[in-house]
Amino acid sequence: MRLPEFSFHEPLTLDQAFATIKKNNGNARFLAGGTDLVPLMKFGLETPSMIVSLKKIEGLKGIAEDNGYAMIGALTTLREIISSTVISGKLPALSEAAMAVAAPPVWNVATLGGNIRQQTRCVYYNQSRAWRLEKEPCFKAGGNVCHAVPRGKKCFSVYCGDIAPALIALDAAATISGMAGPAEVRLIDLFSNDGLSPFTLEKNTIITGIKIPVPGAASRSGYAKLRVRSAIDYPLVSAAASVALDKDSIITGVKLALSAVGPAPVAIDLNGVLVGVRIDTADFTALKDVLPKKTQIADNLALPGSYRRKMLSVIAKKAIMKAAERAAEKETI
Amino acid sequence: MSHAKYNVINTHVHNIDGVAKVTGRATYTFDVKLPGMLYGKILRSPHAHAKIKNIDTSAAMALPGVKIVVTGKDTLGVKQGIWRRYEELCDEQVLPLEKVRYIGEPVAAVAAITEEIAEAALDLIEVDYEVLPAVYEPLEAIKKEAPTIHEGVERNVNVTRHIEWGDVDEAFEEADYIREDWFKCSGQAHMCMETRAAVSSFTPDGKLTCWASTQSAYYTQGLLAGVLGLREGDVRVLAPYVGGGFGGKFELDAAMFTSAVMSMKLFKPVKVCFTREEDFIASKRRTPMFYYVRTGIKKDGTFCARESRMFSNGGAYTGMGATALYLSGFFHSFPYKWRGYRYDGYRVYTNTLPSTSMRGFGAPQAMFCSEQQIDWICADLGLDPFEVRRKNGHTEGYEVPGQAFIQSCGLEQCINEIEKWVKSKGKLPANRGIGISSCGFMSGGIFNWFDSPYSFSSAVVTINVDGTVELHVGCQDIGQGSNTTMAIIAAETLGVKVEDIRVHSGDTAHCPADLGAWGSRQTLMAGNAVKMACEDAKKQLLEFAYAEMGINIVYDLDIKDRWAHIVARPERGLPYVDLVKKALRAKDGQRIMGRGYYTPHRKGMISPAYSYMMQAVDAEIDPETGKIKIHEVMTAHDCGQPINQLGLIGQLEGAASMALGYAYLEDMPMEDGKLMNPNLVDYKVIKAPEMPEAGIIEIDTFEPEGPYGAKEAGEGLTNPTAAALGNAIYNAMGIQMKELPITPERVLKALREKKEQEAQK
Ligand SMILES: Cc1cc2nc3c(=O)[nH]c(=O)nc-3n(C[C@H](O)[C@H](O)[C@H](O)COP(=O)(O)OP(=O)(O)OC[C@H]3O[C@@H](n4cnc5c(N)ncnc54)[C@H](O)[C@@H]3O)c2cc1C
Ligand code: SF4
Repeated sequence: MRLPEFSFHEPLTLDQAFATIKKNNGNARFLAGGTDLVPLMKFGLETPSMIVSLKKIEGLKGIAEDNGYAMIGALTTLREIISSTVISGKLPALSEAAMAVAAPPVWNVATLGGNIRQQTRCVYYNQSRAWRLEKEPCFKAGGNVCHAVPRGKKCFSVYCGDIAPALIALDAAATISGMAGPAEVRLIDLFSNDGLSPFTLEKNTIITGIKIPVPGAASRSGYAKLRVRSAIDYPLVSAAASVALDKDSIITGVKLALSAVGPAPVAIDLNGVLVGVRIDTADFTALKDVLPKKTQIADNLALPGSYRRKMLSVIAKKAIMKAAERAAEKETI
Repeated sequence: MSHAKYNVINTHVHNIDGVAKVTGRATYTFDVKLPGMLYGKILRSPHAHAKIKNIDTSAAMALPGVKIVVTGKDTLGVKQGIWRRYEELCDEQVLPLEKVRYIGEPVAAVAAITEEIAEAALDLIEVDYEVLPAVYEPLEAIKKEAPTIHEGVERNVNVTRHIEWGDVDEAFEEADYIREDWFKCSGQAHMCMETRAAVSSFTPDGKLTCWASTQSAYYTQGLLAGVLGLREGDVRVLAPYVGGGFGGKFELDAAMFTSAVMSMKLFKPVKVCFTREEDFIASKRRTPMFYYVRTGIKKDGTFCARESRMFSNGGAYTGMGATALYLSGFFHSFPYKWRGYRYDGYRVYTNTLPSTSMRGFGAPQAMFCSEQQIDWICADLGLDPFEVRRKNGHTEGYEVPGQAFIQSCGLEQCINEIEKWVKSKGKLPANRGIGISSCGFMSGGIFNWFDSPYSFSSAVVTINVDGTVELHVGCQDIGQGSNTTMAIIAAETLGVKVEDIRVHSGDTAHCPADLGAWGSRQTLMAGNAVKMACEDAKKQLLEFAYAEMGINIVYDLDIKDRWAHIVARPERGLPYVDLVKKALRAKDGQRIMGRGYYTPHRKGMISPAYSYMMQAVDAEIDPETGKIKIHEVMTAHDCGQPINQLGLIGQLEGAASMALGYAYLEDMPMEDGKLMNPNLVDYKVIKAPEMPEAGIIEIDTFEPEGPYGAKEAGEGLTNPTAAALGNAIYNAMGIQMKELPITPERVLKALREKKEQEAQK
């Protein structure tokens, strides 16, 4: 499996990047760590005529705390995120989510922006060109059927990013820059919930950074991921939670976000379910009813959909408990 | 058992090619690059079963850079197979002429000046297929109404195997308790680090040189000659370094065949390497098996009889499947004494990737069923699983009726050691259990289905003037370290150091023929050949030493640590190097050369010797997710005299990772014959975080048939693990896992069913 031909560009500024795309009028893809893009190109699933590397653009890297916000450049590697004590101390779900991605060698090159902007996945889609040629093309490949949901009318490919749910649970926003200039969007609003075209971003928009409000001491976060092996594997279901407790260990707020449950990460409102109770007496059985309704799980990852559906509440509870334990610890300090 | 003290044997010897490998200097077939070399690619069938009506190659030929496109019509159309003695089992045309029988089967090949062009050319080949109805499961394919996969093969039954001894029915009569179970064992990919690869170069003198990633250079030579219409001697196969085999690389593969066919037409070197995906979909796999097991036992735990029926998914061709069918049935009886034993195996063709031998050769499947059922029987009857195994286990001098004679056997000590180890763990926390499984394995298959007139193994040793040694062996190092093993045996026998030996292997033109790396045969068979060759050379040296030293001929002479000496008075002697120089002069300059070989005679049906072991797996189950965590694997192991401690540890750890992968992670799910996970993200081999501690307790035995008492160590270690894990889960959770791999959703399902049953009660 060889890479197809493309032109390669390494702009030094955002303006240069946009100018290059305009000038060549090409079907461009941005390159960050390349760990999502390059395998897709080898499979013939992405066929850009030009690759625009973001790696030499100034100002897209680094982690800073400023005015109550953690600011992280989009080209920051997962390794840098994992090594940051600010993040592991105050935004532990993000640290954990980054550590849950792939395996250590991938952390060294994979970036935050690339992780958020990764393509949705499906066992019928993430296959080589030769493999796919033997089957009728599905919706996502430009055809008219879905192999995962045979009578389905749309694409159920799965967003498998680990980091987006953590950022959603942490109320993060993304700063973006496109042909029309810079803007800021809530993280959850980056996702279209459409398997064919999972992002709302205009073509050729660059995510420049992520902005996360640093929570007060009473609120902490956690991340839980179900995967087959504890290295390499994408999530089968994952959950990030932020939990705020008062001094009596009563839950005053919960934010839950799920990934690998459909074409987009899902934010779940649990305020009617878990708020106002002591964490150690909280009843999680309601999650079993609430969560499956909010998700669109099909049979298209390594383990069956029926199993993944059952795991929603198990994994969500793990994330909430991790967050709550951390919040309780902070409370007692 | 006490052995002589050895200088080299049973020490920690690093692989002699380790430095070349870790520094990237080792030339694998993948690395071979010749002047003017072309790159080949293979077009594969998208259909599980279809007639090939026409192949139009003209557009592909017209693509600039393409040098040749070949189809079955450009070949001799030989139906080949490794079971050369049996024509009906030679059923595979590597480029088929009439029809394709599985998705991924080669239909055409292209050679071009670059790999990219060759790949692009594949799109331009037009194949006109007539799609035929297909069948994927053996229990479907054996039905009357199933489509015929090979003309004339009734009910798609490829081979059957019956094994029986004792009066089975009478023995069942004597049983107080009889238990029956069905099991389903999955396939597994060999997952060699080096995918199938070959570089063929045919020259105008009519000679073919082929670098190949093979487990047996000699088999490859013979098979290539057969399909190409060449004399065996005109084919030279080179396999200097091979990146793994695991039972999947001793048949003729499409890389070897298509590169050779195209090179012969062009008189240019052609290289064909499989992608990882091609290796998954078109290089055969471990045989999936359905097992029915019926076992009769007395109240006191004495085994009476066992009767088993097995249906294996043979896939589209025979491959090594006929041997796997036999060995699975044979080792299914292991390591116990049965008054009556009956096995009927059916290998059924289906329209799927062919199955073949893989590390354990049918035994891991057989043990998964047997060893779990024994534990369940013990639970049913309130018997102690250690005691029952001890009571019925093989012992030295036992004859498996009509099949095998056991000369050395450390099974009882293995059981004792593991029992001690398990007891030392005390009471385990909830959801955690230890499971055990015992087994044995052959130490060199004595089969000659290839119909080789050469001895099974041979070696030639030549001593240079400075005392360094050239050791030529036909046995094949595929990463398992056989060259190091042979160097150790040579150094021990000649009385020199490992670094004095240079091992030459993987070259049919320069090394003597040997059946290669399969059936756990090299340490015993090639080891014996090497020992014999070195003894021959040493004898020649010592003849001169007698003359030189002028000693009484009643004294014994020997060489140890480069010192030739009187055994009774080691201080009296001369340096080995001086001896070599003198011997050379005395021989009119002829180099000292020793020859050795090994061919088994009167060794039963299977093997001259058997390894034994018991393994324990300590595992924990998450009752909420069904996920399994393996804490530790401990094996008590009788491999006779270990040759290389480091090699043994390497084999143990490698086997544990491969067998655990088989037990709970690796699977080859197919939809309509199409493999759903032909890549390393979706195919789940064990990664470092999953790999548990793997410990070994060596049991000291001496095998009279093995070189220095050595037996098999490596392949057999794959056999007990899936069963031991199953038993660990049974002990932890009370659920019986009858299907491989043991996935989280299967665990949860079994837990749910158990709960429901308990609720009913
Ligand atoms: C073996 C393996 C296992 C993996 N396992 C996981 C896993 O468990 N969890 C997980 O979340 N991911 C996993 N991944 C996916 C991937 O490695 C990570 O998501 C990684 O973080 C992607 O980052 P990158 O910088 O390499 O992205 P790239 O591949 O460079 O980019 C990905 C996409 O994002 C676009 N892009 C990149 N940066 C920007 C930006 N700043 N603005 C706009 N668009 C941008 C690119 O154009 C491309 O379309 C795995 C990948 C591999 C190869
Ligand atoms: S969910 Fe359906 S349409 Fe989407 S990628 Fe998978 S098979 Fe294609």
